[in-house]
Amino acid sequence: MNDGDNPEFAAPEPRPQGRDAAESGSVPPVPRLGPAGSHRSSAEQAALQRDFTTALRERFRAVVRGLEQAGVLEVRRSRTAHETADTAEATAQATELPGAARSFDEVVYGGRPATEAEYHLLEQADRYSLAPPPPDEPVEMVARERHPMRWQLPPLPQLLRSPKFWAAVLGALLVALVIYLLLHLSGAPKAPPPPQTPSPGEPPPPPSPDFNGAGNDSIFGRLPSWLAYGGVQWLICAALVVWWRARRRGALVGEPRPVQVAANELLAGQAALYRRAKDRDHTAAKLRAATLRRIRPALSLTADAPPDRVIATLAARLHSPADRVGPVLYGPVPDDATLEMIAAQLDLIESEIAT
Amino acid sequence: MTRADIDHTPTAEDAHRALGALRAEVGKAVVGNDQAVMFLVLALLCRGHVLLEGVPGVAKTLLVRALAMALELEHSRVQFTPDLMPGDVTGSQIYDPHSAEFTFRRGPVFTNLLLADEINRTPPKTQSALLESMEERQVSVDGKPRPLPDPFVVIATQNPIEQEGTYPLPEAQLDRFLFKVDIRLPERDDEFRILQRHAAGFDPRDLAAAGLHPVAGAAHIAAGRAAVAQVAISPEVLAYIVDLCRGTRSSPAVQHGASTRGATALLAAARAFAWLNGRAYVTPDDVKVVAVPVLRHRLQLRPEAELDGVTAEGVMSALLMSVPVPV
Repeated sequence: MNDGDNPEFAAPEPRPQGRDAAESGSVPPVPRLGPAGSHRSSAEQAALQRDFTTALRERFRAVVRGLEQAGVLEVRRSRTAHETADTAEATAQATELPGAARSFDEVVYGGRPATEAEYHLLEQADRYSLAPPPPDEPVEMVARERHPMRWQLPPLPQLLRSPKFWAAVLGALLVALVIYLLLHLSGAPKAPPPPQTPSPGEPPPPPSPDFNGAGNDSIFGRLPSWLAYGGVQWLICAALVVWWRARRRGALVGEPRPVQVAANELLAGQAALYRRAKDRDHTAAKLRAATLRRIRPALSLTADAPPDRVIATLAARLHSPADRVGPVLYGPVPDDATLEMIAAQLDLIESEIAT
Repeated sequence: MTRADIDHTPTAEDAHRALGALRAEVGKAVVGNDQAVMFLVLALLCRGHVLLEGVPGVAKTLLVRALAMALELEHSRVQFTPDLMPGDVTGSQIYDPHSAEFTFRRGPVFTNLLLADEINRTPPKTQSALLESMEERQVSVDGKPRPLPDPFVVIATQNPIEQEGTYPLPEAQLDRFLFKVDIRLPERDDEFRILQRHAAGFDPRDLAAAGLHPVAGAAHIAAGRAAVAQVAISPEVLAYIVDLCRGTRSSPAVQHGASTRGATALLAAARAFAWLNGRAYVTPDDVKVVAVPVLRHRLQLRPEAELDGVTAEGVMSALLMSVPVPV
């Protein structure tokens, strides 16, 4: 049997070419969307060429991205056209979108060509795709003021600037000091008694009959007593440090990545980090950004609305003076009590807007 | 619908109308559980089988009997017990002293709707006896294959709360079920209506007295299947199904994800659902509706994920919230 008869060594079948390849079809890529503006211009271009199927699809994409950029919808690619329309209808009173979603399904998934009338209906209903592209960070985070440092440290190596390094050095010095004090306060070694010099005329004592030429003293017995005492202390300290730093409960367990963490655990962990860092400004900015994202649709505000306009609109809606609303949204946060008060007032504002 | 309507060769429209009327007809005997009825009809259209999971006393058997009566199909029920033998399900050769020959006595599997009650109470040997019936739609005895009637649907039930003396279904058999459907305890309003019916004299053993009559037959199901085969699906929606199934394989909580059989099952179920909703094309919404009951029993979770309280339904929900939809 030659090699060609063995199926294990047979060359792979060539992929279909030409007509066969067209029939097998290419695998669609993972769907991604760009900024609303680019989909909007693609739609307008396709409409000019009377390709209303492409135009309808691109216009719907522009609407979806516009709703996301305006903060009406959460940025998520796993929503279907109907889910997008239903959510937008509930949050932004976009009553014309469910009908557009039905047309979108028929055209995109059903293969029916879109009509000019359908496209123009969606075009007229599109008041979302003009929303500005989202900033890198929420507006409220960018607007946060950062005071420049009055004086700056000279450039130093990273290690010398680390407080942990200096804490470790200080700790080592303290341990050395404690050991030194222990050695000197626990009593100095006693001086050995003076040797008794034999009298010159007296002969040395005869060796013992069972003496075999070796002494019975060890090298440790000849060490100075302070060294033996200090060595024991060091060993105890080392054992304690090993027990303290190296202990673990149970065997090591490999964890598959990425790790799924429950949302509440993540939230609690982040909150604890913020509390430890005492970064109240950042925490307040997060809370304010979330509140503004949720109440903006109800106030008909866009993501790029300036703070003055946001304060004025909110104050008018709540029938409250602007000088009371402003500090809640944009004021400084000097201490924890102020942060707690701001969080409570943001909750109150959201509940008032919801009702 | 009259008997004459059922007997004539129905069109796709007739089949759609008749299967649509099923829900109301079954509702004369079973309150609530509309979702379960829908998935049973989808299984009939896709030639699939259904695993019903629910605590005892939530009308699982009544649901199957009502469906069989409304569909004018034969049905039989097998109570799976630890001492049940494969021959008790498929049938066996019996010696006939009159003719001095061995004749084949058909088992309860020779029916249209087979209710395999508490399937996880029988050992894997008997569970596996159903494998050939479910996949090949035939029974081989003494090397001779005997085809099962068409349609043939196995509706198995299992009790989720008892673990003592049960044999969990092997993965190979779970993969043969098109859907796993939860039968939940009824809501307050539904339970009130159930008691109201019983107070008015409803007898679950006499469904004809409750007004149930056939609204569809095997011909309607055959016409429906032919129509479902014509439902179009775009390459983008196909890719969405593939992405969902691949997502189950790469999820950190899952040891073994859905197989390619799972992907084809999801495709078939989405097409049938689209047709039942009067559409000749599949949308990603159709895929999302059927994805959880089609895929969840095909996922094998990692032990540490199960200890953390992760469920297959949770994994599927997270996937549906993260896999990009073609828009």
